[in-house]
Formats: sequence, structure tokens, C-alpha cells
Amino acid sequence: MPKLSPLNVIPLLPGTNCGQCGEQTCMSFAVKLLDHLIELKECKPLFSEKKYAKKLKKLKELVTPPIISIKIGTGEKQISIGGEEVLYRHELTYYSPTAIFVDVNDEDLDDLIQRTEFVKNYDWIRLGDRINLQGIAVRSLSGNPDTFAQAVKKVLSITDLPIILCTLDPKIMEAGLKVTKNKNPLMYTATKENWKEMAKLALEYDVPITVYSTDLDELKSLCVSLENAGINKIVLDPGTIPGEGHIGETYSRHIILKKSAIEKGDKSIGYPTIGIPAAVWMDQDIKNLSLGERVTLSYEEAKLGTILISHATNLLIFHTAENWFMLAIGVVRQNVYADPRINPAVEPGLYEINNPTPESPLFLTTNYTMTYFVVKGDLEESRIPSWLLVIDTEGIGVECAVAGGDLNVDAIKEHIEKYKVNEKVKHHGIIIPGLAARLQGELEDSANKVVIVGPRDCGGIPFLLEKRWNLEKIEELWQEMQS
Amino acid sequence: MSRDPEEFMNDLEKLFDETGVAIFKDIQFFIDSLVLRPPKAAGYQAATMATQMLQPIAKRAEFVWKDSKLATITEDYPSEINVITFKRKGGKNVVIGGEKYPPFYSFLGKNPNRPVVTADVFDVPIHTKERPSILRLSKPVKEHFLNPDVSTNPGLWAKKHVEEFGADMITLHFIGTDPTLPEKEGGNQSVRQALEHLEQVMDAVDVPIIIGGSGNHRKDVELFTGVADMIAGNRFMLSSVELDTYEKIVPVAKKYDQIVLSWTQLDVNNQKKLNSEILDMGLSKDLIVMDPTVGPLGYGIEYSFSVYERMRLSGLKGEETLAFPMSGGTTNAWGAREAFMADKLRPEWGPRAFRGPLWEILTAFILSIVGLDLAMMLHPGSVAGFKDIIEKLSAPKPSKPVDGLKWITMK
Ligand code: SF4
Repeated sequence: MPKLSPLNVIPLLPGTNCGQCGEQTCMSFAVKLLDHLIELKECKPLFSEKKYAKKLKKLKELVTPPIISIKIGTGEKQISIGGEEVLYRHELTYYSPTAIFVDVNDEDLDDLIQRTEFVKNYDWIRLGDRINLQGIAVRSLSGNPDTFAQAVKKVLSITDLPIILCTLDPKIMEAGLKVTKNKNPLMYTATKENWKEMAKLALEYDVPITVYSTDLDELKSLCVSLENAGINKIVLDPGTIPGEGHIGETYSRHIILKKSAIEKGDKSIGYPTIGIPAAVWMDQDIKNLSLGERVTLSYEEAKLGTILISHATNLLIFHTAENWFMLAIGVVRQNVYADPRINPAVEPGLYEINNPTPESPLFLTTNYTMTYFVVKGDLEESRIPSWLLVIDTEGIGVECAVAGGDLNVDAIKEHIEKYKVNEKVKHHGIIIPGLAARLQGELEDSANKVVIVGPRDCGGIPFLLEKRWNLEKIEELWQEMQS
Repeated sequence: MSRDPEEFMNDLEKLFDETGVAIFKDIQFFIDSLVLRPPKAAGYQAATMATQMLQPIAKRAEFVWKDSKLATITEDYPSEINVITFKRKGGKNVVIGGEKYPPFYSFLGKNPNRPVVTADVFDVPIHTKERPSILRLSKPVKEHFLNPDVSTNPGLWAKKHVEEFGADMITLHFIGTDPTLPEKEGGNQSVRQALEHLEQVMDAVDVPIIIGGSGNHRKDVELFTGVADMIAGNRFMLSSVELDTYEKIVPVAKKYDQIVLSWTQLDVNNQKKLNSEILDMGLSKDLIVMDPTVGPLGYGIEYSFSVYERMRLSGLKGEETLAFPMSGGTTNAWGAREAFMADKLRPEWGPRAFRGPLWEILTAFILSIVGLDLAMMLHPGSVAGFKDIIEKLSAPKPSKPVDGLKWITMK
């Protein structure tokens, strides 16, 4: 399916340029609508006036994404997966970030409690974004419906995060569904063998259901059969299989599904996808592995997770529940789902941090968004009042900007003048990033400043100030330089 | 419990037969709309009516297998990425490029060459307390090269990378040739010193070598010109040429049959421009590799990801100025604090020994999914981890199927 253009949308809007949506014209509404910057319902006349009913219907169809959204869980922690419209993120941002689940089994309750607590408490802020985990996948290892129900109950007693019920046995599934009534869990999974019984349960409990097959024709047949039975809350698992050759096939199946839905417009498989990096552990005697073997497997799991996140697999189940692992996965997801339209450059200028005085230290960095935010964040956190001179390097970080010549002495001098640094800052010291150390000599000579080389990472700034920022000494040095 | 519709209707009729009353309680109907009116007459009439009204259940909740087929995906990528061969006289050659499809799209076909690793070696020893140096490496990296210390001899360092850690090529970074860096810390080295270092590496390993400049434009031109005679007969790579330096360096590459690394900074248009300028100067297209800059995981990889992906797709779709293999300084990952920060400073991040190498692997790996052909790496564990996943991804389709549901019952 070709990507929509505003020209597809315009004829379906009222065309009165009435401005009720907050936009000047219907045209700009159309542009924003396709970029997800405004919602359809903001065009009030479209909904209130009967004569637009037909247009509205068509428009709704048009903007329904080729992969529908599925909700799992309820309440505040409910997640919505799917809904993307592109396969390549430079065309349009991916919107609902891959949901990350961790597995537990119903036989080892201590382990279950520990892992559930880990998922529940994994929650922190990184460069302005929240990094957290979305839910628990409970596996029936015991093969016993009661044991399974007890395990699910235990999880529910700890957290209200969304749950995936994992078993191929409809009886066990039903036991799980009974204790998760009104919690909207995801069923995992229907297969060619059990699909009728599973489908009945999905209808009865009105919950989303996964279909599994590594044969994509069979997977589609499962979808069509379920649709035919009146089910439309489906999640696709084309199989995640680790190991030589299998990983390539796994990635291919995921890409084929996305391409079929997004580019070919195949509605019968237009559902979110699920991947199971946890499968790298499936042939292992997990309890008896050495630390080295465990880390190697976790690495493989992280790589598998990364390739699936990279092209928008919508939900992943992991087994490794450790900080160092989730740090990497969390950041991969944060980066892949960052809006590519956000300019990598911030405005150059002289920034005030923590209400500086003319005596406060002066720092220098580049206008690459990442660098700027990290330095600013560290300075703010340290509570040190300071000035931050941000040099226009066209959004390039310090190391590359020095190597490529964007961060040079002339540029720094220009910025000092342009932003009236010498009027606001009354001393002669300037702290440059450790990665720009080579500019020190030239900068002292030509900008007439006492240059202090800062740490290579700005985390070391407080330490630097404590040890090396001494205004009197800086002014003494400067006097010396004048003679 | 949902029920078989037919069975349900039978029960209903039976109920009417016997009692003339049917009470609906706690049932859900999965039909579009259903209107229940009080029956005008009791008995069969009502039952028949109900049967008619309830028809949609049977129609909708029908559990029959519907055989379907997914349409085959065919995609047209009219162009191919140029093939680049790094040559080492009397030693190993390394080939990259030649892709016909996006990376790892094995459903379309197999690309001829897989991504490879070139490992970093420097012309100055690693900084230690006793030995101040411009080369500061984070702890988890340097510990692999300090015991015993191979960093005082680039030849030994290169040998370790190739023989112990499996690097395909070596990049010798002449960072010490920068005249603005202090001599006592290894800076301001002469081209003559550079030649000595290069000789050490060439003697120690039999793989192709990448000549890495210091970033000082004037000196880089001197350096590349200076080493040309020594490397003639091999096909190495001069890393790098930029919009400011290509005019001086491309003629050297042309004369000595060397590859150039065309480096720009996250800007597709600049990359096109630089590449076409280089082509215009008459350098053959099998002598160009491009590097649009790696932002490491956590600090800008999202920009690199999209730039690499766009460039690769355009190259395959016929944009000649972008149909080159891509290199990337994935070593940059060690500049991310999540990779280098000591455990005691960030206990909540877990052991650095685990997160550090993983950071470099994932930086290289995620870019290889969108077109990176040559990863410049540093940590031995990362080299191994990256090569391992590339091998597994590139291996042919296995003939034996595996049950991908076994994970549900893993112990
Ligand atoms: S509210 Fe609707 S009709 Fe009015 S300007 Fe906006 S898009 Fe056009």
C-alpha cells in the first residue's frame, strides 16, 4: 500500500477552512493528521454535520493503520501494541514502542515472585524518556490447571501489569482465564492443533489471542479461520527460533509479515507481532549453567531482541531479568522509537544553568542534542550555578566536531562575541570538554582565555570544579598571560 | 462456556417443547444485532422465530479451517552495491559490498558478502598513571591489551587482534601524528615515525590494513602521501577523506590504487556530494567506501540508523552516488557512559564487564541490520559477539525444523 499523501485526505475533509481544529486550513490539518500530530476528531464539523457522514466513514477507513492496535491488560498499566504504518522508520516514526515482557513459570514460586518484582520495579528516566517494562508472561510448566491458576493469582497479587497466559492446553488456559477475568490478558497461543478450543475461549472471555506458526500460510489460515469465527483481536507469532540459520529465518518471517500488511495491504494479517527472544534458553539446562554460559546466552537473547525491535516487532518476551541486560534493551528501544524528525541540533547560545552569577564557571559544548542534554543534565543535577556556551557544530558531537573541524577556535571566538559572553561572565576561565583538549593551546592564545580541560565525560564535572576551579588562580594566570 | 450453535438450538426447541418457556440468563450472543421480543404465541411459533433470529450465531461463530496463502513478496532492487576488495600482497584479501538486497532479507535472496570487523590499533601506547598518553581507553577495553602490554608496539597489538580475537582487518590510527598534540604524551609524531609503526604492523599480520589519519587535515595529507610508497602493491584504505581534504588525497589513492573512506556526518546530501566529487576526480567506484558517522547506542544511534538505512535502500534502488559499502566507527560505543562507567558509580546499571562489550556489539549489530559492512571495533569480546551473530544470521536455512514453542515449558 503506498504511503498516504495529504492529497488523499483533502477531498474527504469539509474544505471550509473554518479553523475549528486549530489549524488555519484543511490542508495543514491533513498534513498534521498524517504525521499523527492531530487527531481526526479535532475536525468537529466532520462529526457534527450529517452531510459529512460519508466522508467521515471513508476517512476513518483511510487513516486506519494497516496494522491494527491491540490492547492488553486494563487500567493504567494497559498497553496498546501495533498501529504502525511504515516499515522503515525514516519514513514516519514508529509510534507504540515494542512492549517488553518477562517470563515466569508456575513451578518455581520464589523465582516467580522475584521476577515479577523485578519487572514491576524496573522504571527509570533516561534523557527525558521513561524506561520501564510492560508485563509478565506466565508459562505453564507444571501442566496442571490448578497450579497454573495459583501462579497467575500470585502474579496478580503483586502487580496489575498486563499478563500473557502461555500454554497450548485449552484446559490450562481456561484455568488461567478464570482467574484473570476482566484483566484482559493475552492468550498464548492458538496453533493449528488447538485453535478451535482456544478460539472459543477467546470469544467467551473476550480477550486477545496469539496465533503461532512458522509456516506463514498456516499462520494466515489461522487468522482467517479466527476472523471467520468472529475474532479480531489477534497477535501474530511467526516463531522465534535461535541458532545458526534459524535467526535469519526468524527475522525474514517478521519482515514478511510487516511487508505484507503495510506494503501489500493484506488486511487478514494486519495484526501486531510478538517475538520470543527468551527462546534462546529453551534447549538449556538453565539451572546448571555456568556464569559464562549464562552471559553468552543473554548476549544472544539481547541480539535477537535488538534485531526484532529494529523493525518494529510489537511485543517481546525475554527471560534474562537483570539490570545490565534491560539497560541495553531499554536503550535500544528508546533509540529505535525516538522521533527521527527531531533535529539533532539544539539552538546555539549561552545557556544559564542554576541561576549563575558573573563569577560562575563557564562551560563549553557543542549543539548536538545528545551532548547538550547530557551536559545540561549533569550540571543541573550537580546544582552548580554555571554558564554553558553551546557552539553551533551543526548537531555534531564533540569528538567528531573536533575531528571534522566544526568545533574550532574561530568558531568559539565567534560564539563568545555573538552571545556577549564577556558581558555576562566576568572572569577569564573557560572549561572545554576533555575530547576537545587539543584546542587548548590555540584557544588560550587567540581568545585570551584561561582554558581548563574538563573531563572526557561530563559526569566528572563536580570533581573537576572541586579540584581545579579556582577563580583567583585563573585570574592570576590570566594576568600572567597579558604580560 | 460457548456452545455449539446447533446444539444450542436443539436444546432451545426441546425446552419449548416441554415447558413453553425459555429463560435467557448470563449468555452472550456474538452476532451483529439481536432483538428479542416477547413471543406473540407460545410454543413452536416462538421457537421458530427464535431460531430465525438466532441464525447469525451459527453463521458467525463457525469454527471451520480456512486455508489461505500469503502472497509472495517480490521486490525490485534494480541496482547493486559496489564490490570492494581489500588486498594484501602475499596475504589475505577481504571483500565487502556486492549486496543485491537489504541486509538479511533472505526471503528475497542471499547477499554475497557479510559484514566484517576491522580492529583498532594506535600509534601511541595506552595511557596509564605512570605513562601519560593522549590515548585514553576505558578500563574494560584497555585491560585486554596491558597485560602483557602490547600497546607500545602496534605490531604486537595488531597480532593479538588478528590471531587471538579474530579480527578480519586492522585499522592503524595515527592519532599521534597530530602536530597540535603534546609530544611528551605521544603527539606530534613525524611521518617517518608513522612509517616505522606501519612497518611493524605489516610485518606482524597478513591482513589488509586501514590507514587512519589523526583528523589534522594538513598532516593527514602528508601522512597519506608519505605511506603511499610503502603500501603500494596492496590495496589498503585511506581513512578518511572529507569535503575539505578529498582534492588532495584522492589523487594519491588514484595513483597508488588505494581505497578511500568517504566520511561525512549524518547528512545524506553531503555524502552524495562528496561521493560524486570523488567519482568526478576519476577514482574508480570500486575504490570507495563511505562512512556517514556512527552515533553510539544511547547517544544518537537513531540518527545513524536512519541515515544508514536510507543510504542503503537508495543505493539498491539505483542512486549511484550511494551504491557503496558502508563503514562505521562502532568503537564509539565506548564513549557511552552506560558502557564505561564504573560499577560503583552506577550500581543500578549492573556489572560493567557485561554491559560494556554488549554496548559495542549492539551498536555494530543494529547498524549492520541497515547496511553497515565494515565495523571498526575495539573490545575482543565485542568482536567475537558481533561476528557470532553475523554468522548465525548469514548461515543457510536449516533443513531440520525446530519446535519454536518449546520455550513455554523450558525449566
Ligand atoms: S476543522 Fe475541519 S473543516 Fe475546519 S479547518 Fe479544520 S479540517 Fe478544515
